[in-house]
Amino acid sequence: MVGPENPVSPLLAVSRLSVAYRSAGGLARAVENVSFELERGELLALVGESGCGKTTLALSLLRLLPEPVALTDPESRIVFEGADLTRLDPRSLRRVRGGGMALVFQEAGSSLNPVLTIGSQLVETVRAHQPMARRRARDRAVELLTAVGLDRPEQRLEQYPHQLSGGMQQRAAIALALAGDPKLLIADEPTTALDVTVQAQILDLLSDLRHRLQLAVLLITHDLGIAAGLADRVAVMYAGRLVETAPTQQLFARASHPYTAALLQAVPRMDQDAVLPKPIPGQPPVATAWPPACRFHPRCPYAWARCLEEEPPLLAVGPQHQARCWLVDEPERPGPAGINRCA
Amino acid sequence: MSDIPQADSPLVVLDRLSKQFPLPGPLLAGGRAVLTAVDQVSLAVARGETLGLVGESGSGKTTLGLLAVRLIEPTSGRVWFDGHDLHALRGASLRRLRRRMQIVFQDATQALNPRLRVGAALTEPMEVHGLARGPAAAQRAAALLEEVGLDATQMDRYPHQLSGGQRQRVGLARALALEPEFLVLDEPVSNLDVSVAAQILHLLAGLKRRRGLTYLLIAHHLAVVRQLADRVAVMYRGRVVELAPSRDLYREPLHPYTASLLAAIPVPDPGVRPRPLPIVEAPGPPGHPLPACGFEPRCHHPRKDRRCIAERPALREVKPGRWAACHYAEEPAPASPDTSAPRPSTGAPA
Repeated sequence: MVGPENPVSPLLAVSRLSVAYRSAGGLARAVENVSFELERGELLALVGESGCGKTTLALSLLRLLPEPVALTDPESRIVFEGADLTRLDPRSLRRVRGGGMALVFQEAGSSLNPVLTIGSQLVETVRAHQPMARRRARDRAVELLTAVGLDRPEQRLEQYPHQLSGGMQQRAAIALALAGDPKLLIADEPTTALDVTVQAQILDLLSDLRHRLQLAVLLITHDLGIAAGLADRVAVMYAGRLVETAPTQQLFARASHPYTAALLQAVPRMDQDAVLPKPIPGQPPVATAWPPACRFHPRCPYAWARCLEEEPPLLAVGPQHQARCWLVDEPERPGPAGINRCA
Repeated sequence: MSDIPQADSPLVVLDRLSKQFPLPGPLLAGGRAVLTAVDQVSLAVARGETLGLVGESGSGKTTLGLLAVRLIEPTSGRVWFDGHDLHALRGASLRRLRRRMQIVFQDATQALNPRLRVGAALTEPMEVHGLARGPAAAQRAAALLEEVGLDATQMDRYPHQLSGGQRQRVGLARALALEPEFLVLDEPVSNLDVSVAAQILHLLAGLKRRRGLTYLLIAHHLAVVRQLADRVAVMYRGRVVELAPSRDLYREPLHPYTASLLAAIPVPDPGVRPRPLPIVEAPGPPGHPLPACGFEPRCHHPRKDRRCIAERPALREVKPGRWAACHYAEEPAPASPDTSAPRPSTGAPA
């Protein structure tokens, strides 16, 4: 559902992105027909549980998936700063990687080279993006480490990744991602491996960096709490599909897709009295066998005949707020409290 | 008298438990360097109680869980189970006691034998302990599966044929196969997605109610513990720094670490921002001697002073039922440093 070309084009426009894997269990349709846009400087949180396709989506944006195994639908478009990455030649693509969009992974330890010092990795990366003298690249490396809040940056340059704590490794990985001056940072569960107090520091850093550097961020997380605290807008994924997208305030105040509403109730809350979180019945589906029609219908308390026959499109709930649910069309039926019942 | 936290009719008492692990590296003149994973911990778990044990990685909570059921030996201290000194027992008498205490691990994939079908995983412990065998054991196994929300058709499956949530249910069923009274639950939901985790939390609450179990519930996620635990113990670098009824702990933490930990947790409400702890200057390698109070380097309590470096704060009863290891626990601990203060300048890169 892409509208006419905007007068000011967004930084990133993804349309009809579908990615499938050949797997032993058959074709796994990890991501299907996902469209979204990201403005310059915007922080979009992509929320979903494991297996919903959020990491595949992130990797496919930079075309980092192994091509014979992962099949990207030929209809898919990933338009970044005006260029369609699905058609870019390898050379130009390399310039986008790190220079336009950069990635930060969950395990900082595994994105850093264990046998090279932080300094040599940073200097190498800085120079790969912009030819310059070693000494200048080193200055830039110190600058980057300072920007990510690492103390004694000169000393850090000489250290190996294993000499840093998990939180410091993640900071170094973020510095590395910033080395090419990207416009968009894709952060895939950047704090999942960290303790909560350290997680809060890294989230603080991300929010600080994006304001200082005018960085757009696609933050992939399973934690609705993280999305609530940081994001301008939230997109919820379920079974390879975007099922709801809305500005953050709106999403938490008026979750309209039954999955979003259920997910919010399933989160153990610190700020509420002794009520156990409410589980979602059943199991999350797997990509080799998504349920037919609406993919959430087997677990949905509100599903009726139509949900078993036909998959809903993303329907407008309000301005900038869409949900992939037939209930949007049928306000007289029972549904989650957030859905508009009186428009 | 009460220099050790007591519980009415305790089932499990941990008495000044310590566990040290030798660190790799050269032998020093004074012997090998050691990491003190658990440092003089005393706790009591009342019969029918759920005691939550929270802390970040490396705080010693898993080690304490293993000590509580004697899967590892303490360096010093004792564990009492229903009045028996766990370390004085050997052979058959120890085995009889072991049946009554079980542990459920975080990663059910690793806890289950990959080559054993679900049915065999459940009947084997029954046979070992002489509780049932043959068709009687199979029947009990089927009943157990039902109790944890699976059905008897899962008996012939291998662990890899199950989902993460189902495997965790089998792990629970196996622990229950011996009809234990006490369960150590080590991060029982942290590998699971929220929708499935909530299912397991409900299951745990139901099992406890029906079977009158006693739980030691270990988790790094404070929110997970909140709704299940009657009391919560907070660990930091091997020590219990706070112990309180669950309700009170979350409302009004007495130890500055607990306050910081609570403030750092993201809440699914756009109006609430998590507040990070200050970053510490080199906290020192593991095994590095701590200041008297282990939290002192990160502490932002306004009263923090020399005493915190010189004198180890004992876990003491600050108010009825509320224990904290802080010299200044009588004064409220702020959740985190004043966030309105200017950030340390980090210098924008070009």
